[in-house]
Amino acid sequence: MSGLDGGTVSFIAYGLIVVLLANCSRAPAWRFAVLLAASVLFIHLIEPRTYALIPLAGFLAAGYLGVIALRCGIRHATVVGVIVLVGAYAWLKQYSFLPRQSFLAFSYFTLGLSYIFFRVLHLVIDAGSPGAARNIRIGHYLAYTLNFTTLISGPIQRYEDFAPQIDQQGLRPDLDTIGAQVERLIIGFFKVNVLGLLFSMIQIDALAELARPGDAVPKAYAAWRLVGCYPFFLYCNFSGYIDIVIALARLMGLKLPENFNRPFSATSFIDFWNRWHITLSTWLKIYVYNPLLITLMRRFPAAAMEQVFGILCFFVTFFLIGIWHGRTSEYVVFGILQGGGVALNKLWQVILTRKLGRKPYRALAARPLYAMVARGLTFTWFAFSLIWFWAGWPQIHAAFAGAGVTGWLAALLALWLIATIALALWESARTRLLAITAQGAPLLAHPWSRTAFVTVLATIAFLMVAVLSQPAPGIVYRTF
Amino acid sequence: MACLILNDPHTGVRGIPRSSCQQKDLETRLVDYRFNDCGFRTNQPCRPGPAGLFRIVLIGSSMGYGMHVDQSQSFAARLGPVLSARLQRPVDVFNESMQWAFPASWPLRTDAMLQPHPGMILWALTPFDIENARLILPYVPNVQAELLAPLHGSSGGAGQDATVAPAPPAPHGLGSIPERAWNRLITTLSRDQATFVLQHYLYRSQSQYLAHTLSQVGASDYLQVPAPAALQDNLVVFARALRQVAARARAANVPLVVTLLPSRPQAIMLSNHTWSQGYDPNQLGRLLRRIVEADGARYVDMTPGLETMPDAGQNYLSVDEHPTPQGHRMLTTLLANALLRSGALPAAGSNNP
Repeated sequence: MSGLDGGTVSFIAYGLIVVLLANCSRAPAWRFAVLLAASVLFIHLIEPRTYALIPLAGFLAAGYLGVIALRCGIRHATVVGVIVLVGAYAWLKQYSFLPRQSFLAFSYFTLGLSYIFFRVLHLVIDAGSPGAARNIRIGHYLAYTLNFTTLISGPIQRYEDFAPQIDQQGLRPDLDTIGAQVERLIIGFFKVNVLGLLFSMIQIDALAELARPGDAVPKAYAAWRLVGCYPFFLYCNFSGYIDIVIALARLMGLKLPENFNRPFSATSFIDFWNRWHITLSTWLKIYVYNPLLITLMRRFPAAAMEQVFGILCFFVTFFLIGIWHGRTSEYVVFGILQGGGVALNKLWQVILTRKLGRKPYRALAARPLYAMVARGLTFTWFAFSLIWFWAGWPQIHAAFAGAGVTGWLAALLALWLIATIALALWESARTRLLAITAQGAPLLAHPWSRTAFVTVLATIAFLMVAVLSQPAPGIVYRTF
Repeated sequence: MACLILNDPHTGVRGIPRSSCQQKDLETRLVDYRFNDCGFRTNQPCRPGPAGLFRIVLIGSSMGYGMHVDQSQSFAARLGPVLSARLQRPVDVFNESMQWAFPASWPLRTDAMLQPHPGMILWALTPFDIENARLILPYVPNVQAELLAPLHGSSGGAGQDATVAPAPPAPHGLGSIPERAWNRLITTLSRDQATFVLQHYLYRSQSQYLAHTLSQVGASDYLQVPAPAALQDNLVVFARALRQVAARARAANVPLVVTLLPSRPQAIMLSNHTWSQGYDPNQLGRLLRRIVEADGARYVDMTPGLETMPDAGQNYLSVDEHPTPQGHRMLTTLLANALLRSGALPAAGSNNP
């Protein structure tokens, strides 16, 4: 069934039907049954060919066997389980470094596999942790891994967070909760289907302009639009979808973790990754960064090496984040730019702290001008690195050949300058607007203001989607 | 529209002789439409040209007619001088194209085609013509509603095969009320000027325009691979009309040349050298060539030149989709090149190609 795999009207309609069913009873068994049935039906509607689901079923079975093996105390089950799951994941996703001949010859269902992979891996690793012996029933395992609200693009919820919610008696959503979640649904829908569409439109047209013959200045301007619009498109596309699923889940009585926290307000690249795709970066910090750093520190226990290891572990962690996004060599560059960005950021902090001292460095970083410039640079670095995220090598070559070295340098410098000013103005305007109060409360948070705001958004979204039939781009992260 | 007779099923839409009127669209400036003594939007009087002149009678619909541009800016008006200069001999284009003159209506007009003693009949089709191949009269609600019943299934004068598409059955019953109400709401809002302005700015983006067009069922049939059944049905209707026009031209010993004027989606795809899987901007041209050549007429392909024209999609009105004055200049170049390349035009001193 088309359209279910994104922030579309049909997906929201499906979600709302499930919400209604889930709220028919507060009994945990009922809510659990509705969630599981809705998730299975959801997959069936997207992929009606049963045989195409066999690889996914095999992957899930391998994960569950790993969990059982660990529960039974089988030695080395964690290591074997992780190796099997990582290998199976890379093979099913057909990573380009694997021999093509080894891949399955038929098309099969891989939607959401990346997110299932994180959830299953987390269960296997944690099941092997001391004192973590837990009894995960098959139904809970399936409801957790296949939950339709988190299947396509996350967020990556932890089992400890999920299980108690599904086992508790459901809270009937009150009027405030319903209002707040409907508001979030509309905002999410608007982000995906209106803002995302507009940013994508500018970006695609800029790419086409770069491929055409033309003068240097328009080309540099096209390069600026190309690189500057994509982060906003990706943010609207991904965070809008997350808004929709969080709202739907909340109406079902489930709380999903937040995945974004105003990422373009970040004043460093490390801070950025604390605000962007939060559940992914948190997962990798827990399961890659921390264990790797601890292992290195135990192996080479020298205090002088701690910061070097920290930088190295940052690089490895965020390099992995980069290459997780795709199967081809472009994502290796994307990973290097993510890992490199975080590592350089950490190195800069270490050097300045050594030179200035901890307190003076913090004081410097807190200065408005420093924060402005750092925010602009963070945005520009991320925007630049995303070229290897959205484009293949032929497009990258066409884009760079289109504007030339000078054009690109000019575009990136202009982007840094404009991002520095524009994001600072935005932060300032936001602070001032939130400071406006009426009857002792922020005016923007007043129910009337919020109702008026979402009514405008809903009207525009209706006009774009229903009246003008404007097709918005699909959810980018569903392909990972 | 004040200069046009819209509701005569025996002729199709035609201009009122020696009339003039003006039209202003939301995307265009005020444009003059003047018609000669036999009701065509062309400068020449309604009689054969002087000796030595090679005359091309242009037939087609609104693009050939020069919809939304001054007559002097239309490709029909520009083509004659360009060909004259390149062939070193006088060539003129007698434009009989008419708004809403879709293929089924052309067998009704063959006398008029031959009246100016042409050296060639040039049929400039558009994808929209094929989509509406069976219409003789425009699908203007007031006109069409009155004429649907008597015309459906009957012969249309000389056009024995020309029929008018039946109107879709109107839904009835209580169950259809929500659907009708919804359609009414969407239709009303679609006609709103604010919606038009929004569309205008959105569709200036070629990518957005293309994404929207390709998502519309029916509107992009001619681009879809393989050709949908609806397109094939329309091509059959066109083939019937062509057969009659070609037979008449052959009897008068006048060569018939057919070309396909590129639509905006085709122009964007070909100019950018890229299109999604499942679509092909060249498909309709290939299908038309097969039909045209089967009838002994000549097909000339305008599209090769588009591939070297950057940003060709900007030469069309964003919402209305007709070519702008720059678009007509582009079409002139493409058509002149295609005609000369094909050998369809006579060399200097000869009347035969």
